[in-house]
Amino acid sequence: MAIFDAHTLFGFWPQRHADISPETLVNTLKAHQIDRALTLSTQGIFADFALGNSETIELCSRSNGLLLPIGTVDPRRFMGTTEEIKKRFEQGVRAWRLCPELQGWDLDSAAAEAVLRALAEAGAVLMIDASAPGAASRVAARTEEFGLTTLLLGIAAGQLGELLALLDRAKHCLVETRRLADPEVIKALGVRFGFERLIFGTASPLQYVSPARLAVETAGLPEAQRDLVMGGNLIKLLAGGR
Amino acid sequence: MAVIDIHSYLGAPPESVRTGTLKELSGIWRLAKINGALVASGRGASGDFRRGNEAVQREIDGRANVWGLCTVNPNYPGESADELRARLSGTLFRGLKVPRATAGPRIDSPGMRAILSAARRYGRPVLLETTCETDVRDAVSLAAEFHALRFILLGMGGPDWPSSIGIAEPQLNISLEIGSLEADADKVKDALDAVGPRRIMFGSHFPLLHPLYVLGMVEDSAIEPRDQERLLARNAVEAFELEPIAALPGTREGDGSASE
Repeated sequence: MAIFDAHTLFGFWPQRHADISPETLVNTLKAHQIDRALTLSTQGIFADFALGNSETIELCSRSNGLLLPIGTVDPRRFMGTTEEIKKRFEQGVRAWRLCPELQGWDLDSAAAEAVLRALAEAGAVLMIDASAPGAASRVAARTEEFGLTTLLLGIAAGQLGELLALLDRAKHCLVETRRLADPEVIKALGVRFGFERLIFGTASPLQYVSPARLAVETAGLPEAQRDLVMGGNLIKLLAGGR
Repeated sequence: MAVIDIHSYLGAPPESVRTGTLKELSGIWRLAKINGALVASGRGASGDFRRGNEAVQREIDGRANVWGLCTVNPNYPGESADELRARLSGTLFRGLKVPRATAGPRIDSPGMRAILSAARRYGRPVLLETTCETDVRDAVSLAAEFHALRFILLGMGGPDWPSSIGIAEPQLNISLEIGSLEADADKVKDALDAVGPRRIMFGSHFPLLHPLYVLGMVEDSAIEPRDQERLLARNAVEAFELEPIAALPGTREGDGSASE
């Protein structure tokens, strides 16, 4: 089984003391026998998105295929965001992370709307935090009008009711399994909405790998479905398919 | 290695899709190789704590390696004191638990102090749910005042764990419990380094979390086996004065059945 982690990062984490250097990222992936990972420089979240995207692409280019880039832009600055999306997409960046929860901007702002439209027009996959109550519904509503394929990050088992009500109509949304925590919840979501809508991610090396991994591996899924969640879905998604 | 889960729910909390029956819990304990567990009422955490405690007592009586946590509510200090008398006078319940949902805006409240005053006569550990640094500061203040009691901070401050562990460290009658949704790398090791191996415990919070989710944090934390043994079982055995026997938790004492 090849494992593809949809959610890693590297750089400097200002909100607590943590070692998320590129070396730690690579060592963590290797220690957990993760074959490939999408990654993002935190420079792009907390300082300068263009510089961060350059760092991400540079690290990925020398990773011997271990790492693939996640791009990001910051709607607070707005200037240059749509150009950055176009430029980086031409360089092969398919997955894009927006961070309103860390940057403090509103998904309903005109700047956010322009960014979401640009991402949709480029054919990007959006990754965005939906861990707060109601956030998944709001993100889904905001991205639906653009038909933007969206991976909801950080959803916990306690939000299951919201997901059950949402995922039937929000066909463009997928769910990261990292904080679902309960193998039975992962299995139930897969059975109800299709295992192609579940994506394995860890947020390592900022977070532990095993809590996320054990939840999928002990869900009792047939091998084919488990392989989809642990990487197959992401490969297809980045290739432009669902 | 033995594992004692110091906090899971019997009767699932309202936000969970699990049933929270003893049968379901027994299956989870078997899957996660858990040898003993302390359970609190899931319904009592946000609703009627007296009915919740009654249900827990009814369910676990005569079951191997399962002990109760008496849920209290600081908005009802008199009734909570009655519950302590009813539950903690025997050996079925081994601690009292204050859910965050009903503890009010601050944990340090007149109602809480009244409950802790009543709790002193039983000498059982006090489990406080802590979801932020302010909760932990309040807990430290209470623990300093009620120094004869052992306090266990469930979730150790949630997302504020990095500052919370340092705040809790000087108060020696406080222990930390590592289970929360925050799976931040280094969390377990940093907590252990801060308070030492004798003041840290494992709780699953099932079904809000899952034992394997929290055990995964321990697995990734690369701590010494002897510290791991303390964290996963020995500290709980000592604090709650448990006497685990060679049986799956939840089985009927004598016949090995977990069915109703």
